[in-house]
Order: sequence, then C-alpha cells, then structure tokens
Amino acid sequence: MNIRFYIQELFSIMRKSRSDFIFLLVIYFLSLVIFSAAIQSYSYISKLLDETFSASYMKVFFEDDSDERMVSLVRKCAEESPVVERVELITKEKARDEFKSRFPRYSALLELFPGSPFPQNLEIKFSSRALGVGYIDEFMGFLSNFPVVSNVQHNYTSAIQLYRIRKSLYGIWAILFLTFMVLYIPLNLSFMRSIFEREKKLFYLVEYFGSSRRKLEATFVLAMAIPLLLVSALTLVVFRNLGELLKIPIYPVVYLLLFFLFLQMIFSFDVLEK
Amino acid sequence: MADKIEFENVSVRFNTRWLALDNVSFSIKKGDFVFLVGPTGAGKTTVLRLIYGDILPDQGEVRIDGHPLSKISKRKLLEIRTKMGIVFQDLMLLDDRSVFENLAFPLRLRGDEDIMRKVVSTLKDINLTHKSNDIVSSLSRGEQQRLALARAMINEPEVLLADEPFSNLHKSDIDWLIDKMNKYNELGLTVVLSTHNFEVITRVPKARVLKIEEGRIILEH
Repeated sequence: MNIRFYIQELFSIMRKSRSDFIFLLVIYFLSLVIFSAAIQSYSYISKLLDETFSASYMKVFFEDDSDERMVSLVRKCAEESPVVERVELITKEKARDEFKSRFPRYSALLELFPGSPFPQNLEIKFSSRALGVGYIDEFMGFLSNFPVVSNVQHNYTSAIQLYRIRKSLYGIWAILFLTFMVLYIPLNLSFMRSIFEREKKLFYLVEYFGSSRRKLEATFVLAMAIPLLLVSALTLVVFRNLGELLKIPIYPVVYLLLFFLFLQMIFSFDVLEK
Repeated sequence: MADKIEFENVSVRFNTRWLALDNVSFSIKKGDFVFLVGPTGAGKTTVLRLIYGDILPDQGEVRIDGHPLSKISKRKLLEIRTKMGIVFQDLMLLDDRSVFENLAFPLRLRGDEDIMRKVVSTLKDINLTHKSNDIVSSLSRGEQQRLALARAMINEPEVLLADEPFSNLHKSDIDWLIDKMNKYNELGLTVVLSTHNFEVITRVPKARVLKIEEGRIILEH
C-alpha cells in the first residue's frame, strides 16, 4: 500500500474544500461545546443535588412525656411510606449526645440542665423518589396533625429546588438537542456530499489505474473525521479541566464525542455509498 | 498478460430494453491495432468498457488472457487493469490540477520512485513542457487529449484503449495522436480505439477494423 499517495490525497481533499472544512469545523465546535456544556452543567447540578439530598432529613419532634404507643404509631406511619428510606428514633439522651459530639465547644451548657433539654424525635430520610412529587411537604403536614407531635421541620428545600432546576434543564437541553440534530444532520450531509462531488473523479481513476477504491474511501472518511477529531480533542481538554475543577466526571462528554464520531462515520459511509 | 482479448457471444442490455451489444464475438491479439467504427450509440464504448471490466456482459464472456472477467475476483480485475492504459471519451483529467500532477497521478498511485524523470520525459514527448504547471482546464482540447494519452501511457501498459480520441480535434492534433499511437503499436502495444472518423483508419494500413452497428459487428476487415 502506497501510504504516501493517500496522505497526499488526504491533504489535497482538505485543501481543495477548505472553506467547507472550516464551516464544518465551526459546526462541530458549536455543537460539541454547547452540548458538552449542557451535559457538564447537568452533571454538576446532579452532583450538588446528591450532596444536598444526602445531607437532608426531616425531624419530627414529640411533646415531652408523649405516649409511647402514639410515638410508635407515628414511627410506623413513617416507615410504611413508600418514599421513606430510613426512620430513626432519637431519644432525649441520644439527642444530647449528638449535640455534644456536634458542638463540643458548647457541651458545658448542657450541665445547666438536670436531664436532656432536647425533645425525643424521629429522624426521617427520604428516598430520591420523594423529590419529584411534592411528597415531603405533604408528609410534613400529615405528621404535624398527630397530637403527640410538637413540631416537624426539614431541610429538603434546597434539594427540591435543585431537583426542579435539573428537571427543567433536562427538558430544555433535550428539546434543543433534537432541534439541533434536525438541522445538523442535513447540513453536515450536504457539506460532505459537496466535498465528495469534487473528488468523485478520483475514485473512478484510482480503480481504472488498477488500485482498490477502498483505501481512497478510507482516506475520505478520515478527511471528513479530522475536523471533528480536532474539535473533540479541544473539547476534551477544556471539559476535563472543568470537570476536575468542579469535581464532576468527564465520561458523559466522552460518550457525546463518541456519539458525534459515530454519526460522522455513518454520514461518511452514506455519502460514499450514494 | 493481456496477450489476447476475446469476446465470445457477448450481449449487453441496458435498462432491460436497449440491447447495446448483440451476440458479438471477436478476438484481439497482442500487437494488434484495432479500430472500432460505427455511428454514435452503435456499441463501441460498450465494447471498450467490457474490455476493462467496467461492465459485465449479460450473456457470453469476455476473456483477457483466458481469464473470464465475469468470474475473476475484483483484485484480479484490478491487476489486469494495471496493464491497460485508458483514454476516456470525456478524458477524465483532474481539471483543477496541473499538467504535471495529472501525469504524476498514476505513478504516485503505484508508488513509483522515479516520478520526476518519467513525467519530465513524457512532457517533452507530448510537447507540453512549457505548460507543466498550467491547470488542465486552461489547456486546449488538443492539449488535453495529448495529456490524456500520455497519462494512459505513463505506466507503460500492454494495451491502450481509447474512446473517441479524435472528437472535436483539429487535423494537426489528430495527426499527432495517430502518429503517436502508431509508434506505440510498432513497439508492441496493442491498441483498441473507437472512432466515427473513417479518415483516420487509412492512416494505419495494418489496422483491423470492426464495424459495429446497432450492437452487432457488421464488418470485420
């Protein structure tokens, strides 16, 4: 195989259609940067959501000297909820110990009280399913109605807001992605076809001079992929650094790049086929 | 290689209705100079395309050195083509490249190490040295035809196939081409060319003439 010939033809194809290649480069750059940014912003919000969600809980405080049967009933109600992941009863003593371990500087304050100044309470952790259906506030209202319950509090508000932002982003990006694809596919194909038309004679000549067309086809596919590979490399570097900064994984961007490369291959073969 | 080209009861049908060749049989031996003559649409180009395996017959067989083209592999066909030089009716020159680049193309494709010497020598041979860097589209029809012939010959083929090489040419260009082909033939090259210019036939007394009309050989001389 005469590699030098095909390398020269590769550069010749790119030189001859340089304005098309520049335009393709711009299309690839815009599409990869926009969608990588979308994926990474989604990943970052997901990460924030996970962190916030895992640190969130609901507290159900009981009146002093509550009837234990009523406390058990409240606990049972919580445990039977399909969106509750974990329920833990925090006794007055345990609440005091927790306070000591959390705020050691103020533990001396507790000596002022004869017993534990903290009320007995239930700590409830929800599963992620609870975020989507407005269940947490509804459940909070439900538990507040028990006569033994003095107060119900939770810190899921931030997680709920982040969940809503993520859901909206997902919808917006999905619509944008589909719209973009509807424009991207025919635009990309028409540029590739016009490049191929300029080189068509080359494919016939190579065969008439007794060489296989396959190697030239591979050269064409490679020429078509080069702008995308360049933009992919740039995107990878930028978003890998961004990922390290924000502590989010890079693999969704890698999947996106592979998806675009896969599309590119299909388009190239389609152009050659026709 | 390419010592003998044989057509045995060859028929070719285009678009199921148009019979381009109808039961054609003939053979061409090494060193023959063959004119395929006949009106437009008679089947001359079809014969040439069958020889270089661009199309296959619907019936019958075309054999090059005994190899039936319908039965050999694509690889073998490409190998056979390396021994053929083809001048296409539409020339198939790379219009956006220079004269030099067009001549160098088959040599580069083959990985030839001596491209510069061969191209320079060929340019001198076809009197186009002064136009070496000119873009093909800027050449006259006669110059383009000379270039197409030179490109077909640069790999030193054993068979030259030329499809209507004299169309739209001045007499001087036709004279130059026919003299050149005669010289190649005297050196042992097999030449098969199609033309509807009957005048050129008289310039090659030893040539065989196959007259084709409506897909049939009506006269062999």
